[in-house]
Amino acid sequence: MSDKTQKMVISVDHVSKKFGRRTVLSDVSFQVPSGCVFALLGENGAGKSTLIRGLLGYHRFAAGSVRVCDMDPQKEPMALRRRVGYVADAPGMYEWMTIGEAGWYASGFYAAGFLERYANLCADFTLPAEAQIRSLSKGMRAKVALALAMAFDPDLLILDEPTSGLDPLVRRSFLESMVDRAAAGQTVFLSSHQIHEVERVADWVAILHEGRLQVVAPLEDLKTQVRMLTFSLRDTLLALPAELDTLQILHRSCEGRSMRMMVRGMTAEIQAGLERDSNLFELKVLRPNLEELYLGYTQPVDPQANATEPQRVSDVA
Amino acid sequence: MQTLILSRHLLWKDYRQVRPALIGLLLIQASLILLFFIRQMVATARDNDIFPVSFSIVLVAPTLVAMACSGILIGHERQTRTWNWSSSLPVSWASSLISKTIVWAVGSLVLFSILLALYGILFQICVWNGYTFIQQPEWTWSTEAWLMTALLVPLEVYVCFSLAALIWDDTLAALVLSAIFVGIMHLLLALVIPHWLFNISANQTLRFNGAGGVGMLLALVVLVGGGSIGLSRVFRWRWGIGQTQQWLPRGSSTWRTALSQRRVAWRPTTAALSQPSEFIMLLNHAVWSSMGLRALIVVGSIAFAAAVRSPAPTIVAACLLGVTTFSGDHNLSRYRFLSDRGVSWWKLLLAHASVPFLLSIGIIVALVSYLYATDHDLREPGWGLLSCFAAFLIGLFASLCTSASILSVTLAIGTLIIVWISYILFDNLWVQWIDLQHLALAPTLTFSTCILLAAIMWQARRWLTLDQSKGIQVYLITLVTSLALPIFIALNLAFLTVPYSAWQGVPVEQIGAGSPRRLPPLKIQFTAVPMRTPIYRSYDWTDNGKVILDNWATEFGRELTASGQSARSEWLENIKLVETELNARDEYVDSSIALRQRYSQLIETTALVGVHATRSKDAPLAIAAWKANHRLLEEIDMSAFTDMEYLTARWHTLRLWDLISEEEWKFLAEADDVSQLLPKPIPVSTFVQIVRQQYSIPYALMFDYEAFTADTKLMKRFSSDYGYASTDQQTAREIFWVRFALNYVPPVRWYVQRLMSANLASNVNELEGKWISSREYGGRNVPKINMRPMENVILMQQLLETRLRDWGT
Repeated sequence: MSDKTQKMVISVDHVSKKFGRRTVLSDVSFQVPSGCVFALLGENGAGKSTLIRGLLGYHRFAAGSVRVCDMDPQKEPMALRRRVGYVADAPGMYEWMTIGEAGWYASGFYAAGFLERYANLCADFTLPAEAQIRSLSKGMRAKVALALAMAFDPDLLILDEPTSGLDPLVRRSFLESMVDRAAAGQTVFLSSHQIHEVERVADWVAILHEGRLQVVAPLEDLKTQVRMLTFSLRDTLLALPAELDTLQILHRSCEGRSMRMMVRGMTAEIQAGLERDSNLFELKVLRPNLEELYLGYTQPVDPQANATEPQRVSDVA
Repeated sequence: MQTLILSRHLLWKDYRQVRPALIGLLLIQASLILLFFIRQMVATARDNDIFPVSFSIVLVAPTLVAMACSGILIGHERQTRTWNWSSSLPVSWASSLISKTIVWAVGSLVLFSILLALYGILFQICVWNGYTFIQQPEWTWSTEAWLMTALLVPLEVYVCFSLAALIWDDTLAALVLSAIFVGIMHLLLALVIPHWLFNISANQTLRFNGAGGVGMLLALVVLVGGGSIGLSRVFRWRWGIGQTQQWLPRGSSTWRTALSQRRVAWRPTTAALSQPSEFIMLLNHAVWSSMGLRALIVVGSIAFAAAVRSPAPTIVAACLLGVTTFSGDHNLSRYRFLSDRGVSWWKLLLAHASVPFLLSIGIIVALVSYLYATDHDLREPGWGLLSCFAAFLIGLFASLCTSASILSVTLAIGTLIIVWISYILFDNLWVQWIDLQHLALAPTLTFSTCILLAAIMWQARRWLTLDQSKGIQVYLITLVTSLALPIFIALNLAFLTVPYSAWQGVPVEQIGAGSPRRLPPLKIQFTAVPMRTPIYRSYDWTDNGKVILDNWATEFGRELTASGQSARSEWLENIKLVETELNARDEYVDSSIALRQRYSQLIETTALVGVHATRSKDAPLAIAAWKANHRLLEEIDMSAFTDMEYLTARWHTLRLWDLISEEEWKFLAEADDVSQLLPKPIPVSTFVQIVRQQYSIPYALMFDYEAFTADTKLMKRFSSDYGYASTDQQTAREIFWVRFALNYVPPVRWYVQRLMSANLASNVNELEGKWISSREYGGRNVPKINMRPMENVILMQQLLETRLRDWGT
C-alpha cells in the first residue's frame, strides 16, 4: 500500500463518463503518487483513453472530480499543459512539417532549452531532422511524438500506448528511460498492452475492465499478495477444503478434475491445511506474473465451479 | 516560453498550412483574368467590353480565401487530428483563433492586392491598344456596397464556414452545409428587404438608397457579430472539453438507430444465402458513404438549377459528387485496409464511382426533363450530358490526387471554371481557328475526357499501391495535357476540314470571259464615271504580285491610251469631280455597303489612272488621279466604317505606288508636292479597330503583314517625304508570333491559306449573290465567277492568295 503522506500527482475521485446511453467509466477512483511509473491496463474499449483524455481536460466527467498536478484540468488547462507531456495513441502531426520544424513549432510554447533537449532526444531515437513527417513510418512518428512530449522536461508524462509501433530494442530502451525519469522524480502514467514489458518497469498497476477499476496497487504488493493455486480433485463430489473459504478468490476456472484459482490472502498455515486435505493432490502455489494477474482480473468466472462467486475488489492504496 | 497571446510559431504554422491553397487560388484567379485579357485582345466588335467583367474575379478573392482558410485551418486539422496535437500544447484557444483569423485576413489582402495589380496592368495594356471601355460598373458603387462586398461578405463566409467546420467532422459536408446556409440567408435578405432599399441599375451599379443602405449594413454587422461570438464560443469548446464530442452521438439518436436497423433488415442475413462478393460489399460501402452530403448536393443543385433555368449548377454538382468519391478515404487511410485485402483497383474504382456518377446523371436528366416540361428551349442535351461526365471526372480525379477535401474541391471547381470560362470566351475563336461548330466540339471534349479517364485509372492503381506521391503534379500535368493536346491536334489538322480555294482549277479564260471592253463608269454617289476592269490574257501564278499588278496597270494604260485623247480628257474631268464632290459633302462616308464598294472601286481606279499617267508623263492627269486617290483614302480613314474592300483597295494603292520607278517619281515630284499625294498612314486606333475587332486573326495577319511590307518599302524609298509613325510599324510587328507560326508551322499556314480562300469565296458570294454547287469542290457551294464590276475584287483576292503562298516560302 502506498504511503498516504506521499504527494499525489493524479487524484481521481469517483468519476463516471457516459457517451449517450453507453457507460464508459463507472465510479473510478485512484491516486497516482509522484515519482513512479504507473501502468493502466485494460482490454480494448475498457475506457483507458477516455480516462486519460478526461485527466487532460478534453472532456468533462459526468460525475466525480479530478486533480492533476494539483490543478483542475477544466479550470487551468494552459498551466496543466506546461507541466504535463502527453502522447496520444495515434498522434496527429502536420504531415508537411519536417522533424526539425515540428520541434521548432512546439518550442514556441515552452521555456528555453526545449530545442536542445528535443535535438538530443531525436539523436537518441536516430531521427533525421530534415525528414518530413509524411515520409515516416508509424514507429518513427511515435518516436517524434515522444521526443516532443519529453523535450520540455514535464513533471508528469501521460502516454497512451507509447510503445506501439516501436521496434523491440527501442521499446526496451524507452521503457528503461521511463524508470530513470521516475527515479529522477518525474511521474510516468502509461497505458499499454505490452504487459511483459510493462511488468519490468511499472511500480504501480491499475486494471480497468468494462469501465470499472478492478485493482489499483503497487505491482510488488500484488505479486506478493496474490497467488495462483492449481490442484486436482480425487472426488469432485466432495466439498472443497474449508481453508479456501478464508481466501479471497479473485478468479477460478475448472477443467475436469483440475482447478485453477487466483487467490488473495494465502498464508503458510492455509497452504499447509490444503496440503493435508486428502481430496486434493498435485497442489501448486505459484506467484503469478502480471499477465496472469491481468487475465485473472479481467476474465469472467467459470460458471461450472461449485464455489461462491469470487469477489473482485478494487484496491485504492 | 511565449507570454504573448500571439505566437509567430502559430502564425508560421497556419500560414504554411494554407499556402498551397492560396497559391492555387492565386493561379486559378490570375489564369481567369488572363483568359479575359486574351479574349479582349482578339475580340470582335461585339465583345468590346469583355475584360472589365473580370474585375469580379478580383472582388471575390477574399471570400474564396475565407472558404479555403476555414476549411483547412479548422476542418482539415480536425480531420487529421493535428487539431488534437496542437491543443495538447500550451496554446490557448484565443491564440489559435486569432492566428487563424490573421492568416485569413493577411492572405485575403495579399491575394486581393496581387490580383488587383494584375488587373490594373492588363487594363492599362488594353487602353494602350486602343480599347476604350464603358465605365467600369464597380467604380460607381456606393460606400455601403463596397463595405458589404469587400469586407462584410468575406467575414460572414469566414465565420459561417469556420463554425460549420467546428461542428461537423467532415470538411466537405461542412463546406456544402455552410454554403447552403449563406445562400439561404442572402436569399431571405433579398426577399425580405424591400426593393427600395437598394437596387441594381441597368449598368450594374449597386446603390443603396438612404437609410436602407445603413440598415442593410447594420443587419450584416449584427449577423457577422453574432456569428463571431458563436465562433469564439464553439472554438473554445472544441479546443478543450468538446474535442471528442460528436455532432450526432454514437448510438443515441433514434434516427441513427432506426437507420441501422433498416440497413440490417435490407441486407439478407440467412445462412442459406452465400456471402456477398467483394464488389457487392464495395458497392454497399459506396452507397452509404457520404450519403447525407450527396443528398444535399443533389437536392440543392436541382433546386438552384430549376430556379435559374440553367444546367450550370448541375454541372458544378456533378463535379462535387466526383470529389465525394474518394474524399474521405484519404483521411481515414482506407487504402491501406483495401490494399491489404487485395482489392483490385478497377473494382474499387467502379464501385466507388458508380453511385455518385449515377446521381450526376440523375440530376441532369431530372433537370432536362423539367426544362422540357416547362417549354424552355433547351438545346443540345447531349452536350450537357458530356459536360456533366467531364465535370464528374475532374472531381473524381481531384479526390484521387489530393488528401485534403478542401484542396480537392478548390482544384476541381477551379479547373471547371477555367475550362468553362475559356470555352465561353474563346468559342468564336475556336470555331474560327479550328473550324468546329458547337456540336463538333464534342469530339474534342470526348478526346479530353478519354485522356482524363486513362489518368484516373492509372492514379487509382497508384492509390491502392500506396504510391500517392506528387498527386498535385500528376493532376496538373493531366489537366493541361487533356486540354491542350486535343486543341493542338485539331489546330494542326484543321486545314483538312477547310476546302481549297474555289478558284483552283478554274481557267483564267473563264475569269476573263464576258468582261466588257469598255472602261466602266467612274462614279461617286450619283455621278457615273467609267472604270476599268482588268483582263488577264495569260495565267502565270509563278510570277509575283508585282508583275501581275504591273501587267494590269500596263494593260489599263494601253486601253486608256487606245481610247484616245477624248477618253483621257473625260477621265481627267471625272476624276476632278471626285475631289469636288467629296469637298462638297457635309458628312463622311456612311454605312451603305454599296457606297463603300463604290469608294473602294474609285480608290483602285484612281490609283490605276495615277500609275498610267505617271508612266506616260501626263502630269495633270497624274496629279488629279493621285489627289483624288489620296482624298478618297482620307475620307474612308476618317469614317467609322471600314471593310475588306476598302482595305484591299488601300493595299493595292500602296502596291501600285511601289510600281513607280525612280525616274517617274522625280517627274511626279517636279509636278507637285508628293507628300500631299501619298496615302496617309492609317491611324493606329482605326487600324486596330478594323483589323482586330472586325476580322479574324487570318485577316489581321494578312493586312498587318502586307501593310507593313508595303509601307516599309515606301518609307525606305521616300523616307524624306513619307513620315510614318513608328507605331504603325509596331502595330504590324505586334502579331509577330502569329506571323512566325504562319511562316514556320506548315499546318497552321495551310489552314490559314485554305480558310482565307474559303472565307474570301464566301465574301464574294455575299457580294455576288450567286452560288454554284460542284462536287469538284468537295460538295461545298462555291461562288459563280462572272465579270460584273466587282471582279476586280475577285482578282485582288486571287492576288492575296498568291501572296500567302509566297509568304510561306
